[in-house]
Amino acid sequence: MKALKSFVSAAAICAAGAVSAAELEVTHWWTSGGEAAAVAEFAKAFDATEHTWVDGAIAGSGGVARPIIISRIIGGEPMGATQLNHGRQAEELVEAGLMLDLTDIAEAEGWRDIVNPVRLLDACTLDGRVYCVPVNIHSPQWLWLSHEAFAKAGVDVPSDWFEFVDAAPKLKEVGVVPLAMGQQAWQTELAFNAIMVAVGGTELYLDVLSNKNADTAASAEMTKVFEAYDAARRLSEGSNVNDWNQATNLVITGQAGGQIHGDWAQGEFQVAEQVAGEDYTCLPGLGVNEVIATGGDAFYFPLNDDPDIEEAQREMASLLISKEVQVAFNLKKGSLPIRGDIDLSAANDCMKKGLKILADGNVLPDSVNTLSADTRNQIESLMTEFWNDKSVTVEAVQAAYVDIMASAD
Amino acid sequence: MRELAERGYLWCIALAFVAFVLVTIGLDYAVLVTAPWVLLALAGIAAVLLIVEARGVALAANRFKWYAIGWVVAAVVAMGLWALAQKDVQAAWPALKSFRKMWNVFEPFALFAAALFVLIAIGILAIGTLDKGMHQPGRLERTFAVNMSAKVAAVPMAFTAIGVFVISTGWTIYHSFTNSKLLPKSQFIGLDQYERLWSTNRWLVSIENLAIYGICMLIFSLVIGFVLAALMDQKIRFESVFRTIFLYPFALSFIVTGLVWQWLLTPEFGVQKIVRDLGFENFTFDPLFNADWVIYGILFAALWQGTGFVMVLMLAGLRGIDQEIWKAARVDGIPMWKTYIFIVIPMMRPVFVTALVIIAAGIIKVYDLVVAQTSGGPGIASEVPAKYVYDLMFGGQNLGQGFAASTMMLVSVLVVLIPWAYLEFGGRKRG
Repeated sequence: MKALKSFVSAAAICAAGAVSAAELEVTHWWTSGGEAAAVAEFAKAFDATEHTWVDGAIAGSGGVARPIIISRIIGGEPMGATQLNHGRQAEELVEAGLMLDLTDIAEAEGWRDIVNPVRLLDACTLDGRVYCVPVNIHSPQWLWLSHEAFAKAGVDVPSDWFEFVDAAPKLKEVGVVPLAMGQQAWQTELAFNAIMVAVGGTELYLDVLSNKNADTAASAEMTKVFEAYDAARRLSEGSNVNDWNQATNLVITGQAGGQIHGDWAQGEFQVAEQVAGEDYTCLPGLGVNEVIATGGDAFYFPLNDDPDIEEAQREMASLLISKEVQVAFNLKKGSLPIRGDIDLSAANDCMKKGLKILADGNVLPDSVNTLSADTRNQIESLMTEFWNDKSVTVEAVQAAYVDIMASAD
Repeated sequence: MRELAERGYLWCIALAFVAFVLVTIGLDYAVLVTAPWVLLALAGIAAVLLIVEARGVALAANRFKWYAIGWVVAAVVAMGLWALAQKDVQAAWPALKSFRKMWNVFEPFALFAAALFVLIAIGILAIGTLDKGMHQPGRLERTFAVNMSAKVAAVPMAFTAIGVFVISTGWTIYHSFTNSKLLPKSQFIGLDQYERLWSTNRWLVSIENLAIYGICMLIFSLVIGFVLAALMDQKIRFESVFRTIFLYPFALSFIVTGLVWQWLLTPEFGVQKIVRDLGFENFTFDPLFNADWVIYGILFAALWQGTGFVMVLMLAGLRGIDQEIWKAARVDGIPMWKTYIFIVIPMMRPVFVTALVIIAAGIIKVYDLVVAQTSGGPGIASEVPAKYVYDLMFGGQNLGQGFAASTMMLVSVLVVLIPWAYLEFGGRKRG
């Protein structure tokens, strides 16, 4: 028995010593045209090492993909690496010890110095240990406008949300849907937070979403936000699409005037070969309050038995954060890089706006980081109900929102 | 004395089992955790008492020795499973590691089962020594020795059934009283999850939708299914062709059905566009984008998919009616529709009950059709309970809330099943 044991452990040491190529299955929900092009950059860079990237794309955006990813991890069939939004979605998985600890790599490469804003790394950190690699910054508070649609209506392209609302009736007259909106619940929640920061201002946003202050949620300023949101839902009548990229496509083709959506919509414009400033305009903070929330994507590496795979996971972690890969990926994705020290002169108009806001430090936390998945789910249900059911009044929705905020965690 | 020892032995084993099930469900209070082992020890004492009564154990001459050996073998197998979960064994045999999760699940069960099987073996040996003949079969003998092979054969199935139906259900119900988020936790919070559930608008909308869908589905699929079957029963030409056409949608999954009907009912490509292309420019038909009508759009797709199957069931029932009945009715001059309603339908009661239960089960679990057709939209207008459970458990990372909702679904299934069981089984006893 003893001899057998020592033999086995000797074999294990040999196996660990020799670095051998591993196949790493990577799950993510980047399936639209622009996203797929961006993730291909990761795959290309990783395939250039001795390891192989096995693509595990899951269609249907985060709401569909996340449960599949999480149940695979919990069910004991971990993938090699997976995209998730950093923040609280994976909190319990990390607490349960299901994720690979990347602290040693993070310290060796000095992630704390290169990641900008450093809050992104904090969202990956639990009790001082780092468990994920942030790969990009995405801010949801953007208004995307189609020049073609406004030309059709014979009005100038608006420069902020209020001008957009004023121009809406003219758009309707020429048969253009003013505001494109997909049917999925998270898109309506995103639009609500964007309107909150534009109409209500930064302080209101922080007090409601970060401090979860139910009194502020019940205040008169918040009522204004709900009124603006009420106006917005009336502008979206006639946009019967489901996915966000279908809604973006309505803007690209000039069938809709605008869309409130995150900066990942940028990738779609790029795939359609549209030029920022000529074919479309982007307004961060809806043009009213130029701030961006630093949500974004991160890669987690579920704990694995196989030392070969763990080696490959560590290699991928440091690859994803490296300069070249960050530039290549973020240019395709239309998102902002997580490093402050790289040259993005190839960036287009919209990305430059974002970079400038980032450099000025006008950043806010995203609701992904501040609210638990449960609370977000409740808010999403409420927002999609309000958006689609015109019989729900502003008072009713605000009361329900205050209720959720009172028990939010 | 003997009667008492046997009774105590059986009770201890039964209680140990109950305690073990409760611990597995998640009620891990210190008392409950130790209870199974204490009770098994008590059963052991009762077995020793039996042996004392018998004044020693006859081994070679024991008429139950093969049974006892069988139980010992079972115990050894269980111990083998337990051993596979041990770290030392896994270190020596690395191939085991890939199934580590499975062994870890088996570990507590295996240990309990091994102890149980050894006790049973001892009990049987004692009883075999006591009764040299079969004059007075005792309790123990009736439980463990009579019709032994059938009982042994049923053990794996019994364990699976108890594991799936009792332990899993109990586990879910128990955790619906906790504040489990992404992972199950055992922190008891009383009825909070149920209070939140019944004050959530989305759940109330789901229940309302299920009620509308359920009642309409039940009535229409039974009526349409029966009428189609009755028409089919008129000795028509090409009956098999029609039967195939009507049954064919049933071969499609709900996902495919949902997608097909989503396209048909979407204004841009579906019925509305076709009618508009025919020249009716102002025709609007968009049930899936109208909160008041969306559930009927789903209902229509479900009827299209499901009535064929009801029709086939009904047709089989109609074919089972004796032709003499029809002849007698014709001789008496009863019109055909009256014959159907007053004679044939009452005779087809079992078929109706079967169809009813199948339809009802399908109604409560409806999920994929909604996901494919509308994904709950517009807004939350076409949400259903099963979707609420899924979204809360996995999307909202709130297992406790999802479990509370699924417990409510279980209650509604029981509301359907208990009257049925009463009608089917209770009725027969009386009649």
